[in-house]
Amino acid sequence: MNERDLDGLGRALARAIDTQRVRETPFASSRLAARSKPVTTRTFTFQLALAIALITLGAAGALLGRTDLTKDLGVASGPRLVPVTRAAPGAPVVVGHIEDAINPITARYVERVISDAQAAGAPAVVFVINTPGGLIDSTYRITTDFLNAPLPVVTYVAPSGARAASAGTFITMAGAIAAMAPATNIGAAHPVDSSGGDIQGDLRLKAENDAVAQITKIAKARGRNEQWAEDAVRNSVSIRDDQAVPLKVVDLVATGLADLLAQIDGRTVQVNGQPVTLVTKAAAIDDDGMSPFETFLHFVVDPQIALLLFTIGTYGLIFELSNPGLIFPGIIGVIAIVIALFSFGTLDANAAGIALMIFALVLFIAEVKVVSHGLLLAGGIASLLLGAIIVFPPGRPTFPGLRNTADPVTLLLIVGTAALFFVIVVRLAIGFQRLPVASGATLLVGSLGVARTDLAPTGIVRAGSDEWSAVSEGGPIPQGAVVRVRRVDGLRLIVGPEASSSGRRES
Amino acid sequence: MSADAAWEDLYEHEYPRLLRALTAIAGDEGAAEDAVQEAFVRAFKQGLAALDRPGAWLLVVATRVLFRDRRRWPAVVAVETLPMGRDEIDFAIERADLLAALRQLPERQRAVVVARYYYDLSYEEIAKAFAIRSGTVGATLSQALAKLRAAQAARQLVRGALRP
Repeated sequence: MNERDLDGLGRALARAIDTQRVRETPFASSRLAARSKPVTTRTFTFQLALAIALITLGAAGALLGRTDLTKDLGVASGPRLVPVTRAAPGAPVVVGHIEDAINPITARYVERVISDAQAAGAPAVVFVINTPGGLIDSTYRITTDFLNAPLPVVTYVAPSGARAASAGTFITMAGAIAAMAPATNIGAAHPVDSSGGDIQGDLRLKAENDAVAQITKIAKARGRNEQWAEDAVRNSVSIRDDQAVPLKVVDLVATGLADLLAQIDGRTVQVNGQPVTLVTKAAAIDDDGMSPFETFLHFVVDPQIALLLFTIGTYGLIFELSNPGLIFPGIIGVIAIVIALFSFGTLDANAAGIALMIFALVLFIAEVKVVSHGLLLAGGIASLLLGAIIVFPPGRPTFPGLRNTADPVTLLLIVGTAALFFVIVVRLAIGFQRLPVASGATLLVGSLGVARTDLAPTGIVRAGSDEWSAVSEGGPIPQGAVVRVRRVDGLRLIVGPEASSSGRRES
Repeated sequence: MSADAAWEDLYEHEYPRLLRALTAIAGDEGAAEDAVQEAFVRAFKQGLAALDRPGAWLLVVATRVLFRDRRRWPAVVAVETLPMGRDEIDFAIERADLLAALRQLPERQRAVVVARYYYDLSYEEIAKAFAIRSGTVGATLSQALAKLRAAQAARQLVRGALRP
């Protein structure tokens, strides 16, 4: 009896539920029809996967940047295959340029120019030098290339006012013929630590002795003043062109390229132990500067640029992930990070530092997605700072002219902008997301409108781009007067007279 | 029939009943709609072949989604608009009473009641779906129905007193 009663109630209940009036969503606009996932989640996952894939790609690129592809693949290592290349008759002299700080990209460029010159059968290759210094490893790579080049390498410090400082001294002295333009100088080759300061302790002696060994080896191979070379390293001696020739640091002073080629014509130099007589008088000149691509790489392979690129990339990604669909910041971000990773790899950056910086990136992204009351942010900034410091550890020997470590200003900039970015941009964005939905009339509060009819006290007001029924507060308002929207009551605007503007209208 | 058409068919077939069931459980059409849509998406991920009884499966999943989201957003009880047709009024009152009484129950009890009487799920299926013992299902149901009946009786009493 009781059971049947309950079942009767159940049936009534089922009927009641079944006859509820509900708004049904047609299949076309259902989430199922939109394929499996809400769009934002899907975009987010997709973008995250894309970002991770590209960053992995970049890391691979960074590793490749560290190694010399030409060496690994056994191609284009021409300079060392043939001891001496015979010059093709009438082939132009190839001119390369070693400018600004010397880094791995410079070394690769030099190798390419020598290969090109060899392939073209050039009688000689001239490198125009104007550099403040650079990385030790890249410098030694260039001097080795010069000493083993299959054709005469002429080094020329030019134009007037140029210098071949520190690393430049090594490179200039490594040429089969070394020349300087008037009013140029050479020397000051004492190694410093990577942040530009003096090297401390035993490392100083080690770096110094190593540099002395290198430069005297070069001076000896080219028959130049070994004693002066040692002084240039140990005592940072620097001399002008007119002193360099008598001291047998360089061979001659030339006023320009044409003068240089005229002066060296007929000289016999040793190329890989064989005498080669230069025939350069009236030879054509083939200027082989850095390609735009090489120029770009040379620019980005710099610790400060790399760190800034990484930071920009981080913000781009965060911005993209917190506002999926903007696309542009995401693309810029990934490109910047990949370039930064390439740069890190090329500059022998510390892997732990890179890991810390990527961890910071992850924490920043988590900060956008998870409420942590700033803990993730603080962790991210700490991680970014530590990563930026150790990614180019200070204290590594280098030549002056290239700061191969994070500049304190750069660090400050990175961490400061990170903090600022989050405090202002992200909080603002999140704040907007949490605002109550504003639409229609609500948006008009505080804005100005014009009375289309007399408001006594009700009438029509034009505000925004629409006309609204409005009620005047504080006395009737004549047609055409300017009013300010004070509140919204349903679909009516509560307005008040705007005294100052109507006064201005009258004057 | 293509896969898409099969899904559309399932949706057309199951959606109206599922939305009503969830609305009765949630007492809030917005939350119900959300849970129902999510349930269909999850069904899609499972694949049609994996679903033994799609209707019951959808109800259980939608209910779970609703309960999960309930922890994030507290329920908003919607105000029902009554149909105004004169013939329907008695039934509408009866229905409104029942639904209102249903909303007096805890949400879990509501889910069990809906699963049993609207979806005809067996005690075993309900027990499995809500992770309770089969015996408890019966107890829960009679408890819920007793409360419903009491609420209904009280309302009828009040209405009887109010009638001229």
